[in-house]
Amino acid sequence: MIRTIQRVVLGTLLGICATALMAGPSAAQAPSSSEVADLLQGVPNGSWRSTYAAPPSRPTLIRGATIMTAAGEELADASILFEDGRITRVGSNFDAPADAVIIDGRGRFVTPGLIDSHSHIGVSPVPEVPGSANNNETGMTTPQVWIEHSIWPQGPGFVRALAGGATTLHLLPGSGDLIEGRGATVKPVGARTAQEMLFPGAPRTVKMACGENPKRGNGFPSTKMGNVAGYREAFIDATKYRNEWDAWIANPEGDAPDRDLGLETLAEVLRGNILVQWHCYTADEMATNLEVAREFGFQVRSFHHAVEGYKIRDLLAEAGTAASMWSENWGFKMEALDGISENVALVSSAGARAIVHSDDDMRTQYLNHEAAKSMWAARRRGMVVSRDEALRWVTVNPAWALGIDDRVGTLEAGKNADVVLWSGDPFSVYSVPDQVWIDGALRWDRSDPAYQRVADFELGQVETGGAR
Amino acid sequence: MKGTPLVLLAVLLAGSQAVDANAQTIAITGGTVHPVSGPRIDNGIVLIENGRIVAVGSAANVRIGSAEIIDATGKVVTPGLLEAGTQLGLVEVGAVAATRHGSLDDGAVRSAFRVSDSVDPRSMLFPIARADGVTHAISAPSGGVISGQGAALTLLGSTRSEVLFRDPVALYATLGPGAAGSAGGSRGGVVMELRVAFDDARKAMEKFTQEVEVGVEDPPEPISRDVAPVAAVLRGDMPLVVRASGATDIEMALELQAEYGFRMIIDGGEEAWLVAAQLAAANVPVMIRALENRPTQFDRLSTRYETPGLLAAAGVDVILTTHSSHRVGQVTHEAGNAVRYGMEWDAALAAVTLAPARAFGLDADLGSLEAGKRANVVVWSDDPFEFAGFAERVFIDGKEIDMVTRQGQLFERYRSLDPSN
Repeated sequence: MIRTIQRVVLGTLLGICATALMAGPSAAQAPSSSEVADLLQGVPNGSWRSTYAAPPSRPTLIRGATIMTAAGEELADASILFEDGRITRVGSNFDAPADAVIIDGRGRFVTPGLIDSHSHIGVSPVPEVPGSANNNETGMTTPQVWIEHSIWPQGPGFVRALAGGATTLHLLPGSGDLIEGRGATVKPVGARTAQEMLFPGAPRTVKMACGENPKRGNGFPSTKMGNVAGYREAFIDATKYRNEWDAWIANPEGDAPDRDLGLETLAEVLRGNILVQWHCYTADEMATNLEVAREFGFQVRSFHHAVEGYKIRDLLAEAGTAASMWSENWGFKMEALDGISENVALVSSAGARAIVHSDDDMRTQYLNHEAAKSMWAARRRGMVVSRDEALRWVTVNPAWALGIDDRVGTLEAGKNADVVLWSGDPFSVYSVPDQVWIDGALRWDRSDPAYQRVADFELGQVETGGAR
Repeated sequence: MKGTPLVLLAVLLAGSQAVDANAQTIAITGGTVHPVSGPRIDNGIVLIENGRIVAVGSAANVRIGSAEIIDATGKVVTPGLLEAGTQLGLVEVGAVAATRHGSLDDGAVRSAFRVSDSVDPRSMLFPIARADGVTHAISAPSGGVISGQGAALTLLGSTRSEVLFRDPVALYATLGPGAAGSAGGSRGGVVMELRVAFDDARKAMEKFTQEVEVGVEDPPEPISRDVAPVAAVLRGDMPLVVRASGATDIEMALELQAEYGFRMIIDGGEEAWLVAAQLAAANVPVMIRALENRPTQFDRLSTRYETPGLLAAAGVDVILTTHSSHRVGQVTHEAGNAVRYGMEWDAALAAVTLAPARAFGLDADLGSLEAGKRANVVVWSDDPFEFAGFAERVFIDGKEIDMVTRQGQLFERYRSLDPSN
């Protein structure tokens, strides 16, 4: 395998690639640069690409609705137009193209598609049976595994997430190991293969874990300090690996260094090309892990769960690290004991990117409720939290954590048309998504069975009484 | 595990009652009052005296005299919530085994196990639950085919006798794959174990009655501690809560009920909507989560959000629960979601108040705002099912609670990161 790569890719391209890499974007040999980038990322020869394609769609205009942009504004009696998969206008008083679908949004609300930064749908799927459990690889560090190789695209959870207004899910492995492997950003659409779900162009991510889960002995660390030693040893190895490869790219003489699947992922973390998603509950451990990142020169993109995020919200803001949190979930273990329902708003108030995540295939179906709970828990204490800020917790902030905030997460012209039309205020418990679009294509319609996909598994097994 | 006939008698004794010595008269005025037992009252008054409700009605019809006034203008007033699906007082930190006391490790039949012997009245979870408007809870055992006996708790008090409201309140059994591991690995094995338990209890009751009535020379044969609670169920002294998720297992529960005759509550009930008519005909309440629509197991592939509404429409008494201990306040979210998917709002409120009180035989004291009932009252900032709706003032047996929780204290400590904090 290594030799094949060397012959096919490196043998023909790397001589100029090294120059291209060093010279930056202005280099004439940009395609070569991307070939090298692919090799370093572990996706050479055009492998492991997204094959997702949005179905054809008609231009769509929703008018007369309350439009919650997640970009600072909530527009009353406003319209949104999307065409060819992109949002083209948001505002009032404009006409639709002649062939547009026009939807009366009066009394209804529009938000960006919701984004869940922490999901295990399709990898730890329902029904919960051992044969379908593909979430946890075993080993102290397993950066060599990729969650996209575990996805069951027909998992019944995907359509439920979609029906709840989620249009992007970040699937993560773990969290039983120190370094779990790569995550994958997917769209919850009907698909036959994992590749058909992958969000095109989304950066790859890596999941790490601290605290009680990996610290369980029996070949795993027994202490928090053991956890930290494990990360540091892994990144010492990764630094060496990265240096060897970078040196060879700069001067490609002789055989390329051997590929190492795990170190390849960590080297890409060091290069900033793979985004770190770190499962971590307590304030002290998050602070410690920020030091690990400082030592090796990488950024923690988001802590996950961050039950004590509020205690170190200043450190999170300073490090530019997001926190993906529950609105209310606590007490199930020692490291979750200090969870408070004001956590999200406190982290947000410090200027850190606050995210409400699910880690659960129920909560992922009502991320809007979870954001509303966190908003009201803070307002109840006299904190000032705007509706737009609360909406960002489940839209553009998770989009940032996944490196896709330039494409999704807000309702702004130019963004992908991931759009939810709600029956009422999405921060009311009683509202439901009427329709959900991904890349401009209608994917869920509460009143049209043609847009209510039933998972393969459920066909012929589930009695619905004519409705889901 | 041998006992004496006294064990049987002990089962019949009502649990201890929470102490209330509040001699104050309190009038909660101006709010939108939902008595649950009757229609909504705008600008209503709830009058409380000596820990009991003495009057509920419109401002025009209730004389408040010199009562202390609690102004609930613009607020919503309901009975204290009764969360019937918890392990409050039995678990403190889920992953810490030393704080888990709700289940025995093994054995198919554990009827003699009483959670009241495990309940910790000093649990930090009680203040958290009551500050969210949950004034009473049922704490239940788990595991095995017959798990043991649950207790109804008042979530205010510092001794076991103060928090135990009704003990035992029900016996708990499980049907289906969830209990198969304790019964040889088969759904049928679970039913077999239950039949044996019922038959043994029947025989013991017949023999005991005969021996008492006819008289025998030898001392009466002792009734097993595990048989006595089952006998109490067959005598109608307390209900049997049957945990069953799938329609197939619920039908089996109904068959057993018809055969042996007992008061039954279905707990779980994910597929209960498929057998709603049978449940309604047999007058069997169903305790269920509204926030569940996944085919999590093969016995419940037809789980759906609409179940609470469908059951209620079919005439089944629905009890909504979180099935949690740390998040019991989220029972309002369960209720809101039930409404979101078709349940009437009033029915959803009943499902967290009067319906569980009735099902567990506690409705003489709990579950509605009616003269004579215990004064468990919550004043909400808004619709309690909405996220903007919080419990602002909570009264348990007429006594206003202080709303102090460990979580609230953490918030106050970290509200500012000023190092002098």
